[in-house]
Amino acid sequence: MLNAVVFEFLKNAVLELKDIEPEDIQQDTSLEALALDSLDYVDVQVNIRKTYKVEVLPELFTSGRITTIGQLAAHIVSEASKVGAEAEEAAAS
Amino acid sequence: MKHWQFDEAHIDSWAQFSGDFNPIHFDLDKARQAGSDAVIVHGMLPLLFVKKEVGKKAAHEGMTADWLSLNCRLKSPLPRNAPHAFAIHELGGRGKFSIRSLTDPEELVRGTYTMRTPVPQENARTGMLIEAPEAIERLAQFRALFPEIDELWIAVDAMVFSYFLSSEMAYEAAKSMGMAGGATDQSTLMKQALTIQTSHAVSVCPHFAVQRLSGNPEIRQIDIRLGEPLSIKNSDSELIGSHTADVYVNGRFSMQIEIGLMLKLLN
Repeated sequence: MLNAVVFEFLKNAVLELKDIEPEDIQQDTSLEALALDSLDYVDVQVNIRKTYKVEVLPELFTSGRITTIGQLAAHIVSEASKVGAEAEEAAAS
Repeated sequence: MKHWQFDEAHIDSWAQFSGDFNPIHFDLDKARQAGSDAVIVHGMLPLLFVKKEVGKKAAHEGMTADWLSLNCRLKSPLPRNAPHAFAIHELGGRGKFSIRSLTDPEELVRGTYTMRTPVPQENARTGMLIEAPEAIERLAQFRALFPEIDELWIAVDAMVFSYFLSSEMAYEAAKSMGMAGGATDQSTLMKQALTIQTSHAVSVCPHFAVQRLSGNPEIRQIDIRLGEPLSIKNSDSELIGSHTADVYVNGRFSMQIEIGLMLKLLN
């Protein structure tokens, strides 16, 4: 899965939530700068789970492991590939 | 910009239609116990008027060729008898809307609208089947309670939501995540947990969007098909979920409705 595709998905998800212009969201844009509130995070979490079957739990953000949109996209790509591999293994067994 | 204020009569109308008589919508002490400073309006009540205004605006903008899709986020509950401002604007090629308090800059409801054709859910199964006599009776009740709203799709959306409220879906989601505690059904769970509607999305197809209650549309059957609910355990005391219903009116895929919920276990 291409990181750029996931990044566009996240960009669109944020544009749904905030009054900002598309060019204001780049790979290195910090989540803090986007001023997402707790319900915004809930919205993003649900959308990620629906689209990529990946759970993104709050501690990823609170621990500082993910601080930018680009890092979040990379995390989803990495986790989605694991989900895909597990599904393939389950189908093969 | 429009100014709205929701009073006891509005709240009573929605409670009668939806069956939601939660005391936080009627009793200040109960509302305070739930953490609010005021009696609060049901989340779906202002959305009736939001959908009406957005539908009008979208039609004015020529957005009638494809499905109209609204996504509403309920950021904070609206207090009863307080003045609010509703506004629609465009930003970055998206239609956006919001409800703000007139006495506080806080945004209470916000959302977007666009033209987007939804995909029917795979493996969705009939959760509720409403045959003609009941559908006609419910639509007549809606029209009597909300005479200012003539759009059939808004009435059907309200009807689907009320059926959702009376179902055990929130309880089943909590149970599957091991968060139902000692609750044995939805009503006992509601005593142990605070259920908050966080979002409401609705997509309506072009032929259905133009139908009006006053035109006495022929409704033979409303088939509400539910997909697999999505649940995420956000913490030991918080569950977030999303439930999607595909709505077939007279056998035709006419609406898709998605309800976002947050369940917080009370100490």
